[in-house]
Amino acid sequence: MAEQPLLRVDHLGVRYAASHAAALEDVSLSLMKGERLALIGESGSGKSTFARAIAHLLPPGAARSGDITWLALEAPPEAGRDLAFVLQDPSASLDPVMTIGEQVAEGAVAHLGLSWGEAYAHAATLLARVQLPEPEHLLKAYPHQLSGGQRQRVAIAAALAAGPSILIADEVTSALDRIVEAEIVALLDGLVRDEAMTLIFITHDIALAAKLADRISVFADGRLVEDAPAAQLLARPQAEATQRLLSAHMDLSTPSLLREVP
Amino acid sequence: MKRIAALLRRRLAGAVPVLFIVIAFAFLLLESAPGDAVDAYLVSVGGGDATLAASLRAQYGLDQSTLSRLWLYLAALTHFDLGWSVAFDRPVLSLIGERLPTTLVLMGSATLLSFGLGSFLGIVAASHPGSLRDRLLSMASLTLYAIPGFWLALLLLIVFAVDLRWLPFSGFETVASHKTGLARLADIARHLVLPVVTLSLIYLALYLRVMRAAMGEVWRQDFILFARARGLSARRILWRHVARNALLPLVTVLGLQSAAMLGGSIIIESVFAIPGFGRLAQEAVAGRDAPLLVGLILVSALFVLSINLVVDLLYAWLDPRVGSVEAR
Amino acid sequence: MGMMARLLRTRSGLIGACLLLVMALAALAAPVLFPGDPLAIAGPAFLPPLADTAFPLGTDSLGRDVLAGLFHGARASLAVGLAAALAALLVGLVVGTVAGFAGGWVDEVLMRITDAFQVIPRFLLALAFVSVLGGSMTTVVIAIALSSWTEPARLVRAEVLSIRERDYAAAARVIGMHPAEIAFREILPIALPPVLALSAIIVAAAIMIESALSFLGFGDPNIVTWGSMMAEGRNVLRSAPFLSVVPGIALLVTVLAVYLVSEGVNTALNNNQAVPRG
Repeated sequence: MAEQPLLRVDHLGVRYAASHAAALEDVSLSLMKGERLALIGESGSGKSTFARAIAHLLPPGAARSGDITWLALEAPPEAGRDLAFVLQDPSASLDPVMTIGEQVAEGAVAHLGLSWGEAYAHAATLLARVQLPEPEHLLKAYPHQLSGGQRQRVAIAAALAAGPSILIADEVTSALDRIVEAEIVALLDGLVRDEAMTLIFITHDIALAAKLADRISVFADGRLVEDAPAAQLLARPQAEATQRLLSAHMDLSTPSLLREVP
Repeated sequence: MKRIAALLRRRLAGAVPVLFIVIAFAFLLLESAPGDAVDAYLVSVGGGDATLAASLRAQYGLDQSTLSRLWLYLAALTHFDLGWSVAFDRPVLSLIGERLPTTLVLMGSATLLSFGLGSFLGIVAASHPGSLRDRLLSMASLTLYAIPGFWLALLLLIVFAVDLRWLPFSGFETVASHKTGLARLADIARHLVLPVVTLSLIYLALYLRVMRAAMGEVWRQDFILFARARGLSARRILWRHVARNALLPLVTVLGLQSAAMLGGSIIIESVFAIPGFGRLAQEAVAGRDAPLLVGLILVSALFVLSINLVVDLLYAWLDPRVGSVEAR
Repeated sequence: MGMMARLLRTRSGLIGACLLLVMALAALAAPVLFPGDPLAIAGPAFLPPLADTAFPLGTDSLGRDVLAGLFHGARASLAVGLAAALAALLVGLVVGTVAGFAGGWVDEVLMRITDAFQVIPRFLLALAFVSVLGGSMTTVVIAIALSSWTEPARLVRAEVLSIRERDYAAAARVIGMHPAEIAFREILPIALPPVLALSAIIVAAAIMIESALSFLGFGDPNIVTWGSMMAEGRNVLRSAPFLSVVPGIALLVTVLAVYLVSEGVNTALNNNQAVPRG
């Protein structure tokens, strides 16, 4: 892999408007082009905030400090065109009253300069690319007609509509059951490999992180507590939070009811 | 289209018991009003003695028990017989049929104007929450919301009919002007400007506030975050995603408002002396005309039920989730 | 008490509460400041406002003091508004709680009746009641209440349904409390806050309906109300527009104050819940 740095984050801090505690504090991290980085941590650890901060998707009123520098690009990546962001709950991340086709096509219209007709054709290709059956038929369907796993595939297709080179996947499987989770992970794995994308994969499941990522960054209480290659981190966990996540995985190796609760 | 048909069937079935309760209520109201149809008839023919009254009552079954009278009332209703108006000495149905179109024109124009302008201003306000524009619009809409309709009507009359003399003071058209065709239409339109504007302004505030609040709700949804993450233009997010979803609660309000607006037309039509449905209601109460009042109640209930049915269909058309099997 | 403090900390709540306080004081002070019948002739007719210090807001077509009418009108508006809203809330609470708690056919029947009341225009309904019962203060209150109870009933029912299956209701059932006792003792207090936010809207609507009824001449003829003042002003709209404008301003301010309070309540309730997710 070409060791070309893509992103440098220095002393990043985030504070939401209505709360006193910092959501993220003094996080420094770098990312290579084509790297697969997993951000793990318990809920509220700051991993999602970190991802949203670098994607410029923090809610209005959030205060950011520190620097985010994109190195391999002439300009900061443009949302949708260079950087894709997929959210946790596929039932909530699709517009309920817009057809699947339009939602996938609109990104292509916005960034690729396609006409709507071309964009719909492109959308059908993308839906096939994320292994959804009968893509032509799906174009006219609405999100509520699909299963959770299918919706997440649609969301991935929509996020990738303009062919971005960076993909941020924020807990994309935690609203799905184990079997569907495995399918989505396999899909992401293949897509990232085929398109040579850089992947930032956010999860609270350390096993999933290890399966998909080259490197794992562990977050706890708004701070980055450990950052190491995946194999090394699993073999010799240093931080207490990492050890906690590892032992939690042992407990959760059988599917638990807890997963159902968002 | 199957889901729409199923919805239609369900709503119609739901409307039947409601209509029966309204009829029962209307009957109770008629019963508790002093005098009955025979008294009304005798007044209209210039009086009559007690034996004539008694024989008429026997002939129409009015001397029978309450229950059988309710039965007779229902039987009359199935023949679209709403009874006889005491004050106007005419069948209630033809009277209402004559007055209703005027009110429908008034309400239709006012609904279009208030819904269109109100939702548009709601979008404008919600596109930059907390901005000066938003706060001004919110304050203005709250004030408008608090303005009594008849007072607003009087104010507009003072300004536009008394001081500026731009618009006619009252009525539906110029009396005995013998205008025809387009000239007559223009005359009616001039007369309707103030009443329509008054009604619209009162209900505009509600649409504005509901739209703004609904937009606020939608802004917080994940699919808006996802739309931003995909780099869609601000305009497309605002109109195609946020406003489109916020329209749904607004359509529900549209149905609820049909009843309120019909009520509001009573007072607006009285102020502007427009011979419509609402004015008729005022005249019915003033003339102690129970059959007419009860007929008005029945017709308005039927009207509101039909509007709600139309709104349900509109909603189903706007929201593909309605009536789907795997509704979450 | 905490709720009151939170309410007053919101700007709209504070302004609304102050305005309402002024109105309430005016209503209470009316018999002291303007003893005697406000319907009695007090001076020359059609005195414009600010022309005579004895009648700061002028006199009407019969020479009655407009300011006195305004003060006494505040009494009528506030009294009718509050009484009617209270009665409507009470009916709504009972119907909603019974429907939500009983479920089954009781719920079905009660909700169809609620539907029936909602498809008849509220003002037409109030007019119908007044025409049957006759125009007096009490009947106006009853008429408004009977045409306004449906919204609180629906809201309370929805709240009760959502609370009914929660743990403490189940626990209360287990320890053998009577269903009605659970409903009115355990569930109602929790369902109440959203109903209170709605109650301000009902008060405002009641005040509006009362004034509209009086404006059309179907109110209590022996009492001065803002609506009846405007109705009389309307007859002389061309020569003395102030007679219909002034009482309308009082009505507008009162209703606006109630809305501001309701907005303050909503803000206070939301602030209490708003915790952003990390």
